[in-house]
Amino acid sequence: MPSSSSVQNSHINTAITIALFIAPIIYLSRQQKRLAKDHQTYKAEREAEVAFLSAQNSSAHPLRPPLPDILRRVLSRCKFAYLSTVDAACNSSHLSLMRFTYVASEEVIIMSTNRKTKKYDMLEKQSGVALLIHNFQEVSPPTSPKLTGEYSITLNGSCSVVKDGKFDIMDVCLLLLYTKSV
Amino acid sequence: MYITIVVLAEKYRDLHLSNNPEYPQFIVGPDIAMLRVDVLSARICNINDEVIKWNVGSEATKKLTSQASQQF
Repeated sequence: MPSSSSVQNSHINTAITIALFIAPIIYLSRQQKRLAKDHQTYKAEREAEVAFLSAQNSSAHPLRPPLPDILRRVLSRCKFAYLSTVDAACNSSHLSLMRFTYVASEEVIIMSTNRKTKKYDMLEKQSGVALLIHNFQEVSPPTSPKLTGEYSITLNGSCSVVKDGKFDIMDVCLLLLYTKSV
Repeated sequence: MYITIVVLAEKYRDLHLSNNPEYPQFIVGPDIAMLRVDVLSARICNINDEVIKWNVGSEATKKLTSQASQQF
């Protein structure tokens, strides 16, 4: 006859076996549910985008601010843009592949460039730019929003160099004293 | 005592770097300028060649264009 401790041990072993068997199943089923939910949300977003584009397509009047959601979403998903700059006399244009960040709160696009470049020289003389953004189809993790390669966006804008540098408070004070004394 | 005031360019630089952490060589450095594009107009086109257009309007275009030309 088995002792009570061996019966207890066998119960524990059974419980551990069941837990090890069931835990992955629960994990996988939850992950599948999450993926299905993401997929549904994404599908609904896409249907809304398609409906919006179809509805607006025939309109002769351009939309006004703020930027439509579809543009905001594509801009937020993408990271690459082709930047077109022109020289002051508009005799030649120049293209650059740029990484960009869309700042939704300010509705601006930010990029960076070395000052010793052709585009920077051109921008100093002519601030008008065009940007081409395409959501190239790419392999992404299943949980992240997919880039479908469906949209192309052309933006025209005014490009400025943001004043940079870090100022020390002493410099600012000296500058203020100097301006007061003059 | 030195206290550093971080200006807008540094805020943008940090934001841009956090969005593109693989490319610090193009974002951080003494010769790297931060560019800001104020969008004046946009066109979005899908694979069915359906296009929508958007713009900020003529008044805002004038204002933003003159601001940008003063920056350089």
